[in-house]
Amino acid sequence: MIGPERLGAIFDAHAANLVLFARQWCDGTTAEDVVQEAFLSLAKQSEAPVEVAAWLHRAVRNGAVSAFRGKTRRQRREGAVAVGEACFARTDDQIDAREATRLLEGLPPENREVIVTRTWGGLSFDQIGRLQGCSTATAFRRYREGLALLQERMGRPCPNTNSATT
Amino acid sequence: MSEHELGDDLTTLEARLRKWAPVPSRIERDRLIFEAGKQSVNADRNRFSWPLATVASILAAGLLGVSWDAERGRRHALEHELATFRPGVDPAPSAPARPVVFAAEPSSYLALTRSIRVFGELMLAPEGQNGPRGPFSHPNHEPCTLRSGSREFSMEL
Repeated sequence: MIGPERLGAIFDAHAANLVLFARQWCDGTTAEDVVQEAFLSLAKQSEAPVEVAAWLHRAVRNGAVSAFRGKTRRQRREGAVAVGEACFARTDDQIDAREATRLLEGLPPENREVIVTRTWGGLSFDQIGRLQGCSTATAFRRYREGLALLQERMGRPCPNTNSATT
Repeated sequence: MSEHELGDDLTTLEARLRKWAPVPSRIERDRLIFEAGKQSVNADRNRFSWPLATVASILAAGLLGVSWDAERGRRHALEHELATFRPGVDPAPSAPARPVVFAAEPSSYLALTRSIRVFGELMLAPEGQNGPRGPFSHPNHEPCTLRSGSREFSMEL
């Protein structure tokens, strides 16, 4: 059984990263609901998982994918379009939060998932491989490819800025 | 050299990305912990239901097994007793059961059938003793016997 203090500590350490992770599949509000459900499921476990972060990422992934499938059906039915929000509160001085979000969202899903779980979730490549159902080497390859793509796109001027200046 | 090694430029980018801070979640932390505590208490209550049901089932199965074994032992003892039983050495044989005869009209079909079954022949009672005198009675008021070879009574019948 996980006590309230430990649960609070886990929440402080992982909640924001997990919301960012869930936002790959769903919008901000749904992502927060999914993360909340994952924490409630964690509290109901008779024993704390050995790898809490990996366990939470898996629970969030399952919930977010389910929500994504439901949302896709709903959007198809209603013809709604999701509005992009910034995923980052703070970036560096070379890039703003919205641009960073746009760059991240522009990556192929598999590469983006590895980058998010590795960089902000703090999972090892072995854990990411198990999460994605691939080998550790494949997870690392996807990470490297994603970083390379990101670097390439960050080196490029933003198309919106370009068109505004010209 | 490490198995998972990036180039210098990618390592720099990785370090740069780590500085980006995701948007803090708007989930109410205290409310979440309260809800989690509430749900875990409910989960605790339900946690013992399955083990209790399992223990009860095992106990019931054990009791049934013991009672079955006892019943089997009794049955074997009875079988053994019956196998060793000898009818000839029975010290006090019980009297043979007498057939139960219900009172019926002497001239009725039922009474006549019984009479044939019990005595092997048809016995007709004299008039005034067991009922009215029928057409098959003997003239000297003795109970008469109906035999297959008796032409007189057969003709009367």
